[in-house]
Amino acid sequence: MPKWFTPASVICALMFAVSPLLIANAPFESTMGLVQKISYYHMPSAWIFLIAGIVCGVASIRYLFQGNLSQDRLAQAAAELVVLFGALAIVTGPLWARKAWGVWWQWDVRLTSSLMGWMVSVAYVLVRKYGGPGSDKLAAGLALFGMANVPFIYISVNYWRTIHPKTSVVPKLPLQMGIPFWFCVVAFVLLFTLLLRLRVRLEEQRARVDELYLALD
Amino acid sequence: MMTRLRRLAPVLALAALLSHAPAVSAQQAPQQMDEFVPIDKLPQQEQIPAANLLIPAYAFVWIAVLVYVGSIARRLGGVQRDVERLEADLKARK
Repeated sequence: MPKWFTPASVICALMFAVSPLLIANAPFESTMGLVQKISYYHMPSAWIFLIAGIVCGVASIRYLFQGNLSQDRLAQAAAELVVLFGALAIVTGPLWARKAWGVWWQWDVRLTSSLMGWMVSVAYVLVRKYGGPGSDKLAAGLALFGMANVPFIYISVNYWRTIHPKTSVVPKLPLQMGIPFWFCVVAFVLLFTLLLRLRVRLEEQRARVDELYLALD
Repeated sequence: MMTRLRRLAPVLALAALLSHAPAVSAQQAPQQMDEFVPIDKLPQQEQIPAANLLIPAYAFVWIAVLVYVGSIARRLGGVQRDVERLEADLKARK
């Protein structure tokens, strides 16, 4: 593992340990109250879900057109993280919505497109696991659809009728809410980077096992 | 007559449910927000129901991340052992 990995892991763990204190000290939102504090983990999870989708899509394009195996490993690692962070966003969102909107789920464009994006990434992981020979290219094609969905998910709240908060809530965050929010964003980005490196390492070691079996034959 | 009524019962029940659906959805239409406005104090009655949702949300994030880290560590450990075993086999053969 690279030299930066261990210190970065310690910093990330400390940031996650400190984040509940910062969130607890942040002010309550005027209409939603206490439940709005879910946003400090929900929004960074959702952003990482989208970023991981883009990483997976770009790496898949490079694998499809250049045949670069390291990009295929990166895409496979990122796809699993799309599933993880997507699950975090999709589970924490309804817990917030239950109190803020009075319902667990709305079939509006933001929620539905996010669910679709998450299901595409689940399909990617399943195809890679059970698809057999050739599943790498089939999954790479799926990743392109997943990536194409990302900008649609992001802008959907600004263009279609929905009760999901707009993207403008982030730049308009007051300082007392902005500090814990951006702190959590940095913690989640760091977590994503560390998990991605760890997951790529797993694929590299699997490739090494294949090489060793071939060398033994 | 009774048999026919019994057959029609699910259809009638569905029709009754659907006829009420627009009224239910019309009741719940909060406004879309474009900014968060902070306040200093939270009404007491707000805290208990929100805490029941807030705590599971944070618990889910922590547990899911820890389970995933554990899963990668387990898989990586297994592959690492395979690599070491195969490298030892290759060395012994040479």
